[in-house]
Amino acid sequence: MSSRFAIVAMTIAALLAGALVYSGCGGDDNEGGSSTSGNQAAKSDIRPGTTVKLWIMPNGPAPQEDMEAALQPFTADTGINVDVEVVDWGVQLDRIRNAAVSGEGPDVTQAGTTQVPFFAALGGFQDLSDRVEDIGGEGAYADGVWQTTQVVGQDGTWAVPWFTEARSIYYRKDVLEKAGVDEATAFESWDSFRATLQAIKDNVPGIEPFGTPGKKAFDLVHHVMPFVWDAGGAELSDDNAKSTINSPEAVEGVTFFADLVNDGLADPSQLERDGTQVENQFKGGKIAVWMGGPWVLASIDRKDDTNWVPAARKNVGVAPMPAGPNGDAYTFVGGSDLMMFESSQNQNEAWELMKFLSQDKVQTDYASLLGMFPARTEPQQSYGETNGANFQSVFQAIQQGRTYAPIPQWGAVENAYKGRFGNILDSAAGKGGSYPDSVQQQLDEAAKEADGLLAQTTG
Amino acid sequence: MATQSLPETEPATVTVVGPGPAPRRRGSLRGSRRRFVVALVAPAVVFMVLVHLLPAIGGFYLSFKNLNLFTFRQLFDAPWAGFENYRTILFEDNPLRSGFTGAVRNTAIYTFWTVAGTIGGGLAVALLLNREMRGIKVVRTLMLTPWIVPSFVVAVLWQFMWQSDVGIINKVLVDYSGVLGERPVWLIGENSLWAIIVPSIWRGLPFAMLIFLAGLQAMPKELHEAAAIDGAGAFKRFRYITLPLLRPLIGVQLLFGVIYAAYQFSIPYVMFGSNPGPDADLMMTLIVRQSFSNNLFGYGSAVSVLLMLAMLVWVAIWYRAFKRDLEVA
Amino acid sequence: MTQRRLVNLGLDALTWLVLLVMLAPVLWLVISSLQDDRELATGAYDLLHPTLDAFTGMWQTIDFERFFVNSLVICTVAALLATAFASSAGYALARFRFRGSRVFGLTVIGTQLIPGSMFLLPLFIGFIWINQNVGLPLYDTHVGMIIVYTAFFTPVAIFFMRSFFLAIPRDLEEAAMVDGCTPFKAFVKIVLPNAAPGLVATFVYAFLFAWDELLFVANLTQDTAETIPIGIRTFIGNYQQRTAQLMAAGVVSTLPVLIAFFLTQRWLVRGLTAGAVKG
Repeated sequence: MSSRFAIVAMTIAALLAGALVYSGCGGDDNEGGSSTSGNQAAKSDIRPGTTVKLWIMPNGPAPQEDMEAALQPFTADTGINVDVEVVDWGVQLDRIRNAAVSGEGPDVTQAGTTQVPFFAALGGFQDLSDRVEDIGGEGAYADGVWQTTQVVGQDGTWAVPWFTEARSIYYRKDVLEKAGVDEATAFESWDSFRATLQAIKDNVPGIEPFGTPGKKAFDLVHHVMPFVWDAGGAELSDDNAKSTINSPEAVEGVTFFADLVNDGLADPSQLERDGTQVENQFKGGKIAVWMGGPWVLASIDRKDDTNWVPAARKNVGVAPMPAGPNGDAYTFVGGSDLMMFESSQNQNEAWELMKFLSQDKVQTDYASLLGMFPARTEPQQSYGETNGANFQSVFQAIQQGRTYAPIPQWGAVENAYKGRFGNILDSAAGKGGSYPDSVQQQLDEAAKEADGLLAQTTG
Repeated sequence: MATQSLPETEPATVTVVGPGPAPRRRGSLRGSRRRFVVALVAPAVVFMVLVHLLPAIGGFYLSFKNLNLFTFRQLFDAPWAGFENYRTILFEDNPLRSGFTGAVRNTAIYTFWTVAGTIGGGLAVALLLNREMRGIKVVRTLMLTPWIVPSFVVAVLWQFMWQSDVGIINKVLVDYSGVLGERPVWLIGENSLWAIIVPSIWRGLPFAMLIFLAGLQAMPKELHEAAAIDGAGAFKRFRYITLPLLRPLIGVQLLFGVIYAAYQFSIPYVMFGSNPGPDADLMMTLIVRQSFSNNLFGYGSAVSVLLMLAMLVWVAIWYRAFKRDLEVA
Repeated sequence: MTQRRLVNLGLDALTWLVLLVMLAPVLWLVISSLQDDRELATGAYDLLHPTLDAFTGMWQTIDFERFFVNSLVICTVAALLATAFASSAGYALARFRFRGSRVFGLTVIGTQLIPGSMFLLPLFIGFIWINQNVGLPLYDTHVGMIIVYTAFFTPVAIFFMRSFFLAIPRDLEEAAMVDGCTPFKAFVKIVLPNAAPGLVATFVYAFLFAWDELLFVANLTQDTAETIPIGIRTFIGNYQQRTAQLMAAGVVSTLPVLIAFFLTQRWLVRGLTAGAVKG
């Protein structure tokens, strides 16, 4: 008798508890769409047949197809359709901003890791702190990667890390051989880096030693800043209130990089091009050494990437960035996160999509298609181990990775730095401004400009 | 069939100044006529007010606001900044101002050379084509082609042509003809302004040529013949007959040429992106970059207002110089 | 005599030379579009082995079809509307002296003085406001862009049409009105048909300007209403560099305006030069 009573009582209690928990997820149904505190979004909260709109940037030679293929299991499993749209890097900042402000846009968008603070401060994006436990929360990500979802001065988790990349040195093994340089030590330090380039210039005609894009490249700052860091400089002061890009250490770092152009070790005509064009110059066998991200590795095996010439395709080597005078070999670690729009009418479904893209296996598969690294720690580790020496080099680079301060004004500050770095490189190539005086002068201007941008307030 | 004389209706925008009888009351049309005119003009007026004037006033208003990254969502309700934006641009020593003065300088140089090249070149080519020759009609028509090519196509084409290592221009100058020994760099550094001036002249010249050619052909031959009989050489005839008769046309080209050049955006933007560099940054690329890349929207609006003021000054100057050319026939 | 002949021959040669120099970039555009992408990126070109690969491939590399159709739809409709509004307003300016006609005329010229950047943000804000309060979506829609372009190109079109109307003698309408026609009917049935070349020329002129426009599409569209000037930039950058396809896209983008121009060339030229032949 009593045991039966106990069983019934417990069942009722369980049902009551379940109902309480369930109704706790109800939340207020405003026009923003479904509940905002769905921490146990049960499968029944999801409406199969909904279409979630996703914006991605060109993450490889065939971005649309790659993404759609990766999402097929998701649609098959949940019945949620995903409408993928590829938005060019050149216009994505404007587009995402307009979408956030106008309330008309996709449900989920990819965003560069350094852009998240800006978008979060702009407003229009969903705080995901209630949901991230679903995917393991902070603990599932390396510290540097998790920081890309946070914003100084604004509590909350504004994005979910998607994939990680780090810049390393790409080189042509055959060219190094011809130049008589041992690839194991070629890029060890700043000095050996220069010596390698010089050796290539002296001994291997028909190919330029090094090439870097100029101010047209959206990621120019990612290439120059590691040298600033190596020399002991920093882009902003520790409290992020002032720019320190004109400190003597920063000048030293930038000068080292610009000297490569000034001394003829870097091909000046590359400065007219943007990042992708210079990448294609490396693939096309015009430059022997280049700085870039891991996605190039994935394209080596892709037949549909016709930018490669056979000699380049077969002889790609990757090395971590060179160590500076203090022994540090920093590199820029970036990648992309996923953000959800506040105006989305399909927030539960959108979250399902983001959860899917955060699964270990999906992370690994998609990242390997792109040549990026998964953002989650576990797959990231095994990824480096299983994919060969070149990927190992990139993984090593990630360990020495550094990123910028997560402040909202960073995007604008980076733009200001980019313009100034570009001007410095131009002057080093002999075009406009007198080098090397231009370095200090431009960096002083950059610092002033950044200070002005940092001083922006709400009133 | 070109009309040689105006019909009796006076163009609405011409001011006929001078002594005369007390001005009649213009415009007091009778009822249905009045309604008719209003109906004719209404659609255009409505559109212009709603889409042109109101937003322009809005833009003016925004230049007094502190509209930046943090306040953007408030849009028109952003905090009031008064003349702060203007003060920063004009009087404070910071990179925003040096960017502004740099863009002003570049735009002035660009405008000068583009307008000079377009009008001078257009006039020269019009003179050249104002003769009898076999196939001259074909030549005149084909000469208009650069004007029809859309400006974004012009920009991508010339950007490809200007590339220092693979571009065709350097190939011709250095490899094929040997005119220059070293390959000049056009897209970065001091030459970058020329990289946009040249295609602008190339594209604008045919239009000016067309106008001047029509003017030349409408010129009565008797004037030239009489002058020739009197012993005036070709040069003198040009200076004392042709040029004065073409003055109104040159005036119009000058007016709109300067405005169009000062407001140029497509060509540098497509060729260089949002940051053409300190040598080729024009006013419009500066405004767009500061507004949309640096999120300094209030600043961008203020610079737009200043640019427009500069153009108003230009129109006033032009009006003084060319006033009498407006009072035609 | 022979000196004269020589001078003439010299001028003939000079004329053809000038034409060649002016057309050279366009020729280069066409030649480049017939090259192989990879070869062209290195600057190499082969005049003897043209290929149409770029023309066929360009439609797959980016969604050029959508840009092209968008441009076509938006520019055509806007040019039609601008011509319609301009013809009625231009007629009023040509025929009637009414109170406010001078102000109207000056305002029309004045609109050309306002830099585009002044409108950008307010228009964007306006679009959002209308969407939120009236429920009519305008941001990134064809309708929104058509409205903007119509408003923008009507002023120029007004003066264009006006000069055509000035060339039509009044007697025609006046005779009709004496016969009992209302002014409106006279306008529609008598004047407009006579001004048909002007209408066509104005349409083409407005279309030319709209086709070219870049600043507003960059900021008021997203994906649905994106037009060629913005879309064409994606041929280069972001994992691809299809120079030949870019050139081919340039050729394809020029064709509509080229065709429109050459079909209506006589009238268009007449409209453009009407001011010149006032005598």
